[in-house]
Amino acid sequence: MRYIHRVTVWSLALVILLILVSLVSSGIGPVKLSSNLFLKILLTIFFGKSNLLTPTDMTILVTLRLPRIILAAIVGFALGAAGTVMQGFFRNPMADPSIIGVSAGAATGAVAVIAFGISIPFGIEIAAIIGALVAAFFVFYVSTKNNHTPIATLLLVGIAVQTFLGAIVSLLLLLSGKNLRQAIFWLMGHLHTANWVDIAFTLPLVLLGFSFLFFFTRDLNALYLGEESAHSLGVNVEQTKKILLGVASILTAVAVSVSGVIGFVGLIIPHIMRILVGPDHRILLPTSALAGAIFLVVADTVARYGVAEIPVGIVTALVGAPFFIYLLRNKGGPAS
Amino acid sequence: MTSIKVENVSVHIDNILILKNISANFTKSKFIGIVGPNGSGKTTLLRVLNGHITPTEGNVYVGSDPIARLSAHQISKKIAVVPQNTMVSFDFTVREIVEMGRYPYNSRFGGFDSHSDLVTWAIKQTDLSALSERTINSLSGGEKARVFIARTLAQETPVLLLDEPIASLDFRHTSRILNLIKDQVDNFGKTAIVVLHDLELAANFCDQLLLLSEGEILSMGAPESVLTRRNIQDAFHTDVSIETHPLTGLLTINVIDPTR
Repeated sequence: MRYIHRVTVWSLALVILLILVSLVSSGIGPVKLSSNLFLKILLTIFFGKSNLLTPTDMTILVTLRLPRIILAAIVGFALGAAGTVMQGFFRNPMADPSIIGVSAGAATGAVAVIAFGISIPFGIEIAAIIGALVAAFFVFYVSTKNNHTPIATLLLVGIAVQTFLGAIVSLLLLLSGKNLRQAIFWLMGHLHTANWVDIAFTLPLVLLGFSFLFFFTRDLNALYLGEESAHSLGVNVEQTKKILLGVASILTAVAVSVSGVIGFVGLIIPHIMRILVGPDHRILLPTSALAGAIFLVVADTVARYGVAEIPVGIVTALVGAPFFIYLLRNKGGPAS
Repeated sequence: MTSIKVENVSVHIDNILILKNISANFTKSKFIGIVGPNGSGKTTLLRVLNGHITPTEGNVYVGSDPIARLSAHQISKKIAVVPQNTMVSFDFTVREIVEMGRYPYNSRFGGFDSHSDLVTWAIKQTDLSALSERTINSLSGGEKARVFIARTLAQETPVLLLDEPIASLDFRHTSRILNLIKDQVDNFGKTAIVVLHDLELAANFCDQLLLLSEGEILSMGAPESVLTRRNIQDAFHTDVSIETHPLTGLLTINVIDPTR
């Protein structure tokens, strides 16, 4: 029961922290809402006192802040989970969710739509998802020979594809003219366009994808010992690799399609959680996902705190990198 | 208990012929040593035996089942493997790694502590009790090797496949681990197929030896019939003298150095 106990305690603590952070975040933003907002929200939720919040409060909360906070949590959750799986899968602490070209593919699709000024509903999101999945599938297909996909080949092909798509994105930016600002904002990661439709689209996919990954966490543990050892412990190696990589890529693609490229969450959160809970994926995956959600809600709160909106990707990197270095120095880094 | 049979197995990797038409019967309750020069196909043979590599030609049978028909999960309850040079990138503790040997039997999210006696026993057998809460990457090469052997013991399979398990072990642990394997074979009816480089240890511990040379079986059988001066000359291109100690019956092999 030690495992069930540990994962429950950690997850519960992180869920409570996520709720607290979200409550605090809902009271922060460029528009000042009425005083004692947290208390009023709590009373409204738990006692149904709907007359406490002014109509302005309600409008700003329901149409602007809540969707944004919830979407930040969903995207952070997805990136934290995908990052954990990618680091485990590649047995490489430098791996992150975009490692096999998912983010670069999404960026290419989205920037193309923005640059050419194509305006169809959800055009950017759809283009980003298609771009992400085409890039990931291409990397996997090219790296596979005789039904075997060596991890080193995947990494190298992923880097080549990222570089290639990076060049295409630069080219598209040069051609984008008056849409340049919008394109750059998308690339840096943003949540200011969050709405309830985004949530309805991402939440089921992210939860479904996460459940798949969670089911395979023990296989991921075995893969830490190498493919031959994993095989001898009963893991169907090639099939498990396809599922893990495919689902983690879809999770990342879904997140990136609504938020742009938000760096660092999928890289540092699994490290922080590995220091705190250890390397067992059965605990590491759910806690990293929740920690990713908390981190992105906080980062996005900072991003919209001032009068001018900052892309949240800038905040995650500015806050995340120093904190990460601090952790590495003080708590010991990954195994070397 | 389970025996493994190999029939006319050939393996090509990247169009290079690694194993040529190998046929062998690994019977139960035997300590079988695989010996031969570097690059003679020892590791590939082990990988074929555990189903990690599918041979280009020929068949492998575990008991009466062709290995290709068994799932990884089914194989994991019959064959435990220690590959050469296992690397662990993240910091599991010794105990956590040995517990992985129970994966084939436990549900995905249960059983951290189930069979903890068995895990403790495996750790004790490999002389790791004092290190059981240490992280794997804080151990020396020889200590790590013992952790993976402990994991195969916890896996409780009738067949053990070990690829150079004693390569990095010290004097004391070498004999301790070989005796442990021998005990598993003699008293628990297991079949151990072990790649060894030290021909004297191979001769003195194993029931049977299989001598590979350039992907073919040069000789298979009792140690004294395999390790003849002629066979060693053919496989290793080295001239040796072989003596049996009159009292202990232990084999001593000395290289006759032509330059001396």
